[in-house]
Amino acid sequence: MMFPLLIVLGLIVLLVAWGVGIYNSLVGLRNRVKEAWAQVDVQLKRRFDLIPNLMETVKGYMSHERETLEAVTQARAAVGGAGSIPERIQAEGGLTAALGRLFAVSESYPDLKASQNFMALQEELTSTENKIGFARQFYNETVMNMNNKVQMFPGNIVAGMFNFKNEAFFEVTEEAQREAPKVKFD
Amino acid sequence: MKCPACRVPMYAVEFKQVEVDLCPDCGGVWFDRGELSLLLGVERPLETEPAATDEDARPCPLCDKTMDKLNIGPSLRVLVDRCPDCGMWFDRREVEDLGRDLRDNEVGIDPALAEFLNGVFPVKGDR
Amino acid sequence: MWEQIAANRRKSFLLVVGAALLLMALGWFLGEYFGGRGFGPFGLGIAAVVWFVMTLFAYYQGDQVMLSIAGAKKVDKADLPILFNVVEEMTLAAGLSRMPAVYVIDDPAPNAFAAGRRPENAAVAVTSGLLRQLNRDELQGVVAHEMAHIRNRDIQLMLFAGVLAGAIVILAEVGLRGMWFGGGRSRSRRSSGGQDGSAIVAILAIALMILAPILAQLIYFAVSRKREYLADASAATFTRYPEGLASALDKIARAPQQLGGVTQATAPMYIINPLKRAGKAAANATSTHPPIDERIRILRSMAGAGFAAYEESYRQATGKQGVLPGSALKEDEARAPRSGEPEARDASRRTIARQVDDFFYRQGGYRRIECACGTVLKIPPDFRAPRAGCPRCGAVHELG
Repeated sequence: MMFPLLIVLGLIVLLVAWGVGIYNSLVGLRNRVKEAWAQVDVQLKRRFDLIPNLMETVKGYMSHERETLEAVTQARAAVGGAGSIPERIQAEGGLTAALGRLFAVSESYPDLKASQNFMALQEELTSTENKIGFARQFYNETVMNMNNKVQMFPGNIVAGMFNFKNEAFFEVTEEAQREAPKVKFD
Repeated sequence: MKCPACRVPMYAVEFKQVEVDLCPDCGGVWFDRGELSLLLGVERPLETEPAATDEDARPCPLCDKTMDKLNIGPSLRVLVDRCPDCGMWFDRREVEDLGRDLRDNEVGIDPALAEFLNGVFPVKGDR
Repeated sequence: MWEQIAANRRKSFLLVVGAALLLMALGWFLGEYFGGRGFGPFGLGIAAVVWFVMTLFAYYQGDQVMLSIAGAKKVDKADLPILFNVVEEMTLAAGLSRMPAVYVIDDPAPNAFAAGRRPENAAVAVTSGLLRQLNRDELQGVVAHEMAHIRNRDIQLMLFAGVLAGAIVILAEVGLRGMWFGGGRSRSRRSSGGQDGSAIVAILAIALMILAPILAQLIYFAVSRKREYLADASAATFTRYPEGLASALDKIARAPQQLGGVTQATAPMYIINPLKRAGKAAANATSTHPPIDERIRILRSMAGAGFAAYEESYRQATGKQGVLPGSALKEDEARAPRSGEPEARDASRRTIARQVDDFFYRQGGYRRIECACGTVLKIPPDFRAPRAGCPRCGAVHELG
C-alpha cells in the first residue's frame, strides 16, 4: 500500500526538482542576457554623450555640410526618444549610419582632420563603435542561447509556465552596416 | 639620450606626429629605427651601401655599440651612421641633403615623411 | 565558451594530478635513498611542503612578482588612450566581466604577456617597443591573444604547471647534488639485509632525479604550446581579423631586440618566447611556443574567422590531426572575417607611437614646449643648454 505511493511521491519530487533545474537555468540565461545588454547599453550611452562634443568641434569647419550635421542631431534625438529595446536598436542603427556619413564627409576637410581635438574624438567614437560591435556580438550569442532554451523541449514547457519570452537580437540594418565608420586615423 | 658626436643631452622634436632627436650643439639629427620604418615603410627601404670614410666611428646613442658608416639615398651621396638595431644618425644638414637627393631623383616618399621633411628640414636653393 | 572553460579546468586538474604524482614519487624515492628504508613518507612530506609553499607564493604573489620583474608600469586611459580602448574592445569581445589592468614595460623589444590568477583581477602588459611598431589592427590582435589566455584560464593552468615543474626541478637538483657530495645512506651503512631492495631503490631514485625534471618540463611545454594555438584561434575569433595578429607576430619575430627582465619561468607567458632568437625556434618538444612561422601561416590561410576555420588551416599547415579542444569547435559561430584598413595603418602607428613616447617623457620628467609653428619640443631633465631652438621656424625657447 505504502510502496506505490512512495514511488509516485518520489517521481513527483524528481519531476519538480527537474523543473526547478530548468527554471533556474532559464533565470540564469535571462540574467546573462541582461548583463550582456548592459554592456551594449554602456557603449551606446557613451556614444550618445560624445556626439554634442563632436558637433561642437566640427561645426566651425563643416559649415557647408548642414544636412549631414542635421541628420546626426536628428538620429541622436530619435535614440533619446526610443522606448522599447527593438525601437532603440532601430534608432541606434540610424545613428551609426548618420555618423558614418559625417566621418566620410570629414575626409575632405584637411584642417578638421589635423585638429587634435577632432583626432581624439574620432578615436573615441570609432573605438566606441567597435565596442558596440563586440558587445553586440556577445549579446546576440547570449540571446541565441536563451531563445534556444525557451523554444526547445523541455525548456519551452517551463518557459511557457513562467512566462519566459524570446529576447530581441541586436541586428544591424543593411544600410547601417554599409555606412558604419571604419577605424581610421588621420 | 646623448648626442653621439658631442655627448650632450639631446631634445626631441615632434611635428605632424613624427619625432626626431636633435643635438643642441652640433645640430645632428637622430631617427629612431621605429621612426624610420614608420616613415619609409618596410616595403620600400632606402638604397644603402657601406661607406669607406675616415670620419670618426660613433657609438649608438641607445645601445652604445659602434655604428656603421653608410651612404644612403638614390645617389648614395649622403653619409650617415647607422645602428642596425636602434636607428640612424644624420650630421647637420645631412637630412636636407637626403631630402634634396630624393627630390632630384623624383623618388616618391611617404606623404607623412615628405610633410615632415618639408616642414622641419626644408630643402632650400635651386635644383 | 562556458564549456570550454570547464574543459580547461578538467585538463588543468588532470595535469596537476599527473605532475603531482611525479613530484610525490620523486620525494618518496629521495627519502628512501638518502634517509634509508622507511624514510619514503618523510621525503614525500618534504616534497609536498616545498610544492605547497611554492604554489601559495605563486598564487598570491605570482602576477605581482612577474610584473615587477618585467618592470611594468600601470597606465590609465589618459596615458595611452588607444591601447586602453583596444583592451576595452577586446574585453567586450571576449565577454569578460571586468577589464584587466593595463601595464606598459619600457623595453624596445616588442612583446606582451597576460598575468593574474582569475579573469576578475587579470592584467595585460605590453612593451613600449610593441606599441611603437604595431598599428591598431595588429595591436588589437596581440591584445586579443592575451585576452584569450585570460578568458581560457591559461594563466592559472600555466601557473600550476610551472610551479610543479619548478618544484620537481629543485628537488631533483638538490638530490643530485646530495648524491654527488655525500652519497646515499643505503650504500654506506645498510650492508645487512635488503641489499637488493636498496639497490633497486637507488636505481629508481637516480632515474627519477634525472628523468622527472625532463618529464615535468615536457608536460609543461606541451601544455604551453597547445594553449598558444588556442589563444591564436581565439584572437582571430574575437577580432574577426586573423591578419592583424599574423602581421603583428611577423613584426615581433623580426625585431632584433632582446627583451630584458625575463626568466625561464616567465618566458612561456609571453606572446612570443622572449628567450629564443627569432627563426631558430624549432617545433621540438622543448620549446614553449609553436614555431612562429607556422603560427603566422595558419592565421594567414584561415578561410574565416572562427575556431573551425583555424582548425582546418592548422591541419593544412601541419598535416596533423587538429589542435583545438572539441568544446571550442562545438561552440564555433563561424564568424565572418572583417576587413582591415591598410591605408590607415601608418597613421595609427604614428599616433600610438607618439602616445607611448609622451607617456615615458612624462614619467621621465621631460618639459613639453609647444612652439607656435606647430612643432612640439620635449626637453629632457638633464638638458644643459639654457635654450632650445625650434628647427622648423627658428624660434628660440628660453628654458630658465
